[in-house]
Amino acid sequence: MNRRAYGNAGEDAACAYLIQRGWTILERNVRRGRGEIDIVARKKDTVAFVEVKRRSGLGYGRPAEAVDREKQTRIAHAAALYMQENDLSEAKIRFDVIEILPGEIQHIECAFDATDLF
Amino acid sequence: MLASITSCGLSGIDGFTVTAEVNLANGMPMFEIVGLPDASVKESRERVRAALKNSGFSFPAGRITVNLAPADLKKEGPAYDLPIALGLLACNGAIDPEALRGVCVLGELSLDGSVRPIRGVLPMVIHARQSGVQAVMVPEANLLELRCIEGVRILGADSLLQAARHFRGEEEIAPLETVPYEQLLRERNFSVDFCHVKGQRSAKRALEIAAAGGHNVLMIGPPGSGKTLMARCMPTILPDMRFDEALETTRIHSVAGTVPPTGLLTERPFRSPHHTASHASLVGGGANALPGEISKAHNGV
Repeated sequence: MNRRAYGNAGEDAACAYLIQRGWTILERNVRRGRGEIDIVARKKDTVAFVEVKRRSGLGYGRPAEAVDREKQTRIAHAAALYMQENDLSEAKIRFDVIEILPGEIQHIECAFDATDLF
Repeated sequence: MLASITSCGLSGIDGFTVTAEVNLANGMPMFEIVGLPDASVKESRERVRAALKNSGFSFPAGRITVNLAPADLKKEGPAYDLPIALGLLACNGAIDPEALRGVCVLGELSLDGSVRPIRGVLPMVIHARQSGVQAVMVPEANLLELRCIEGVRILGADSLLQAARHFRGEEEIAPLETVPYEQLLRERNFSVDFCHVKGQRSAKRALEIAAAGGHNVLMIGPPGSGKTLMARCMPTILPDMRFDEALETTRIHSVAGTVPPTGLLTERPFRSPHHTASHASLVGGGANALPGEISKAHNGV
């Protein structure tokens, strides 16, 4: 399995996980500007921008550690554009990270915010 | 949701009223502090975030803006942690914003949610009393400094949770019981005294005359002859400070962060600057004016 397919399979698993917990998937792989958002999901009036990280082991640290400032900035920029297009500027917005390891899935809610990212 | 909390800032040795306005809105999640904060006020974001979580509250997701009014005066120090945290709780609905009205809140937060002592509480509380608030909430560790302040209810908080419970009406904090200044004067004991000085009759007589008449003294003698010891004894034979003098002196030490563990200064301060002390350390001042050795010796030796 190549790297992209491995990651995509992880995103599928994350979607299934969110749906199981009552979220509606609005869109996947949203590219805006230089950023890409893996999953946009909605539950009641909350919209979550979810970044999925899948790793086969902890040899290079936790998957979520890879969502560094640079990555957060890209996601936040893409999210701002997406919010503008979809009239979400008054919605409750969250940035989540879902980490996937063999036999383990961890959902980090409100993993980061956009303070000082713009 | 908007909440506003009264707090206090320091300018020299005087306090000024600061209103911390906390707004929680929907939209891009972020946490901004505006109103000329310095680096230690900006860092308050991380302390508030951790303290709220570790006290069992949730940190609200949303666009958080904190404004420290008046926006044209520089705010420094960590004393706004507690008001900002309580403001967020009020925005969240965990506290009734009405309960915070008329209370001036001061305190630094530790990551585990406990309230740490701050510098300059005495001048800030005196200012708050003049500005007509009903109560002030201060770090519990600062209470000793405030034992003689009457005319305002002083509440000591040792954790964010305790402060929140107070404003939710679940467990009221008992106001500080004031102690009359005369009692503090009776309780003190000096570490040095003229009875420690053997001989030196003429020097002692000269110091007595200087203390009685308020004169300057220049002592000359070989090392070890007791000049410093006798100078240290001077505060014990000077007249007791009046309450307003003690308050004024403690104010200066409160701002400098050199208040003794016993709280309000009842003994006249004794300062012995090193002979190579710099101009700045003697005079004090600077961009955010701190008192120097001369000010710290105010009303003392």
